[in-house]
Amino acid sequence: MTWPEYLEQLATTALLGTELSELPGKPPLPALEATANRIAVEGKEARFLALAASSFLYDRATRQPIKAPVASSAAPAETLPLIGPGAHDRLQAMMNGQHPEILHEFLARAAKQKRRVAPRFLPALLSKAMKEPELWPTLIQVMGERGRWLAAQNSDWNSQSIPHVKPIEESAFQTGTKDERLACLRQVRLVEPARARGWLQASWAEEKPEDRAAFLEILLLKVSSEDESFLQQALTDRRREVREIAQEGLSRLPASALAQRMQARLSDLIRLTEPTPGQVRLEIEIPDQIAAEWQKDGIDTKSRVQGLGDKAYRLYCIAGAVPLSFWSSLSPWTPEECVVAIYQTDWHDALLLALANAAVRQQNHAWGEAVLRFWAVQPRSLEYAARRDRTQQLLESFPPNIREAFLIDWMERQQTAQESENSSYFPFFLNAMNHAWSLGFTEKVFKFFVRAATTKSAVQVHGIRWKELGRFACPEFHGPALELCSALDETWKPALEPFHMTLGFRELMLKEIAL
Amino acid sequence: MEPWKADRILALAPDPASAKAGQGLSSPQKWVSLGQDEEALWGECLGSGASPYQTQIDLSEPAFKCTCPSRKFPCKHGLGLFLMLGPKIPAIDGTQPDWVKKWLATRKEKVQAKKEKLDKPAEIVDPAAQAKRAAERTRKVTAGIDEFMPWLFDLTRGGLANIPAGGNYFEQPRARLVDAQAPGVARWVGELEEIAHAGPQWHVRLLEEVSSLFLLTEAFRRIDSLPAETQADVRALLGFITREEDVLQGAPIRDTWQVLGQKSVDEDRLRVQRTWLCGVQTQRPALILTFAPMNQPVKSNLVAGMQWEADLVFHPSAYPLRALIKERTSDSTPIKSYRGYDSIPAALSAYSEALGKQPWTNRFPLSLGRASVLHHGGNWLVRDEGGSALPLRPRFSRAWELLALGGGHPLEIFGEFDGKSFAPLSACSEGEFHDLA
Repeated sequence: MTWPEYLEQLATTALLGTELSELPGKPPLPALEATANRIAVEGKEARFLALAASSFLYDRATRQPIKAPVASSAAPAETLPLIGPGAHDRLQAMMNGQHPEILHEFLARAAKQKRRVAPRFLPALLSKAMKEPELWPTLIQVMGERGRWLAAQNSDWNSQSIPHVKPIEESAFQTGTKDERLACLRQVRLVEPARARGWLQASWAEEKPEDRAAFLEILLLKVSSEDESFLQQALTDRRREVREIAQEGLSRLPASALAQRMQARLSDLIRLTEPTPGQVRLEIEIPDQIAAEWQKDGIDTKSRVQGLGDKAYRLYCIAGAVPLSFWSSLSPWTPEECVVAIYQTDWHDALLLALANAAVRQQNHAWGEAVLRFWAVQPRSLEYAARRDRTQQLLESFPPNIREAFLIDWMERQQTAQESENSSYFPFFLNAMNHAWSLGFTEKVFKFFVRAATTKSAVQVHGIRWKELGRFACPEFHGPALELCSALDETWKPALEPFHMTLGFRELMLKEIAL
Repeated sequence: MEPWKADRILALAPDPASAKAGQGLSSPQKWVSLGQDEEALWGECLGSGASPYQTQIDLSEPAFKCTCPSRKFPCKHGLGLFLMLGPKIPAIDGTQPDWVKKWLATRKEKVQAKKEKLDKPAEIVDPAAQAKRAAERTRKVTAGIDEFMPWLFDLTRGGLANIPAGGNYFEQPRARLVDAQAPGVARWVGELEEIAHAGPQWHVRLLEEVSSLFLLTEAFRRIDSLPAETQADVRALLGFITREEDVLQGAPIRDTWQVLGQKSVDEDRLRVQRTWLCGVQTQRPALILTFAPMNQPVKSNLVAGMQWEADLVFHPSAYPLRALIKERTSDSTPIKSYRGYDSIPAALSAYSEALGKQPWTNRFPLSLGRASVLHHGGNWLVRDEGGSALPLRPRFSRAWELLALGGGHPLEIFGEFDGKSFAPLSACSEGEFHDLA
């Protein structure tokens, strides 16, 4: 009897019990029987347990190592230096949940400084990047040879960190939970938009009606004219939320049939007159009833925007989906002049909101700025929330330099302006500044804020989301910012403390990476 | 003294929330006053109370004291203060504040008093009464074991298949053993419940445990015929406690002790922390056990990754592992490297020797000098340079980290071996210690 067979027999006897089964035969090693006999001589059960005890002990004491397979080659030598030791402590703190939102900036700075992170962080970072794919491009730069070597050992990491070597298969989208499928579609949409659309088109009929909106929304990332026919098909879906997404997608494409239909409708509603030479006027007439075709394009009979009546809402829906070039084709005016002309009409609230939508959809900063500057100086007439939301969306659609220039200009005007109607805009403007602030801008914001908060200024300074802004303000200005804030009274402390904590963390982090 | 690294300091935190709060307090703006010298670190931190909390750290161990009401130890203030050790805190030459001076003086007095007490042989107040109590305890345990053995035989006769699934089949004998003042065996019997019907081959694992238990009870029945060290092992396994002061009467071993790994587990309403040490010169492994009520952090100033010179005294055993620290004679410094067995076969033969001397050895400290891990066929292995390997404990969750640390190059790995698989607790590579517990 071999040794494993003998142990197996012992275990079988134990399972069935010594009453019903015979004791196993002689152990393959005679000395074991002698040992067992020294432990217990009397009683079947005692003898069995003594035999088992000595056998298991013998088995453990003579355990042999496994023959290991040949190890794959080791990681090549590193070419980049490590980030500083203090920076590793910061990284550990972030991985432990302190300021996790700064991780991306941290990695980007390390990449810029041509440094790498210590190997011990690599598995956690690679796993994190699986959940947050936007981390990949920077992680690849800071993971060093060790990271590449490690990623090659794990098929999940490998397919991500070495793009195009192993593309994501369609089967990954076809199987899995809804969330996994959404993540997969999103990942593919960002690099290969047409492939992602193809997958969704193929699965569309099978998708549950309530899930369709979430999938379709992913196509809004990188939407292009190639998506038009699919979006047009989705425009007839039974679910309103699906149709809305399709309409949004088509509105972002100035050449789409929907945009052209909307433009034709708007042309019928708007007339340009010249009552006195050199002075143009917009005349607008909106029908009381709407055609069935209009409804198919998502124009509802009842208003769905607070502050707009039903007729104004129709105009808003149409104008928001029209290519901005339409307005330039009416008259050789600048966006600013056009905005002024619109303001003269009875329908200016709806039209300016629609222009803001169109500017965001078509990424047209010139028109966006024209609307925003106009709003910033004109007294508010519209339902506050709608305009506030658009303000934020417009600012966020601008490139950083235009955003900053806009707010700097606004702050300068506020300091000289007499009227205070728009002083309440500051928190909304500032909260939309979700980009890395330049040093000059950070300085101007702080001086403006502290002055407004310490004088009897009409500028609204409450409601600023300081905690989040700590991620964006320029860390080089942390010291001066602290000093400026010392002029504020104690009541500001709870609001500003998280801001200073985050900014201070970033200031040290950026220094420590290069140490 | 070499500064403490942040990850070692955070390893002292009783829970992740304290670590996070401590990190939040590690900037000088949060403190009203701060100071340090070679001996200590102190500061005053504004909390919710009217006057600031006074936080201080005796750097020799380190030991913490804070006037905040937190029951956590060390508290967030202690951790935050410790994290600033070094350039962030102004150095004070000359005068410590009075409150710091006073605390340090009290600490020194206490250490001295403890040392004096240890140096004196333990006095037995009433030798006759003590002998009577010991005899009574032995009688009770003997009666408990005599009652337990027929139960064990009944189980063997009826077969393990007859154990009902999901019941508390083992509860009655466990409770009887508790009553018989044999808590060690009682705990062991209680643990059998988790093996029965759990996973494939459970009957093999259960037989191994049951037969080992039988070996222990049989050894106890004949304890007088065993060598003194084995007697001590049997008594310890049954749950007889050797008083600390008696252990400390043993011959101390002075060495630089490296804290190679730590693991906390909850056992029978107790949280037990196992701290594995290894002597640099003697190459002797040692196990320090620290206890706390369940769900409460273990108060311990032993930090994995640090080393210090100390006198250790081992509990009597045929293969002594468990030890007590009699006196620390130096400050802590970080571990840069540690030694280990040259190969897995050499480590296994040491394990075999340990089993030969103490057959109930269930966790064997195993450090490998030049090893690597690899992922093979869905399982993780630790491999030596000669190509011999051991499986890693399936529940070990940080294998990828260990692979990243080595990058396919050999490194030092320390862990516990249970006869089947290896559970890493730390690794050392390129002069840096990594806690993997």
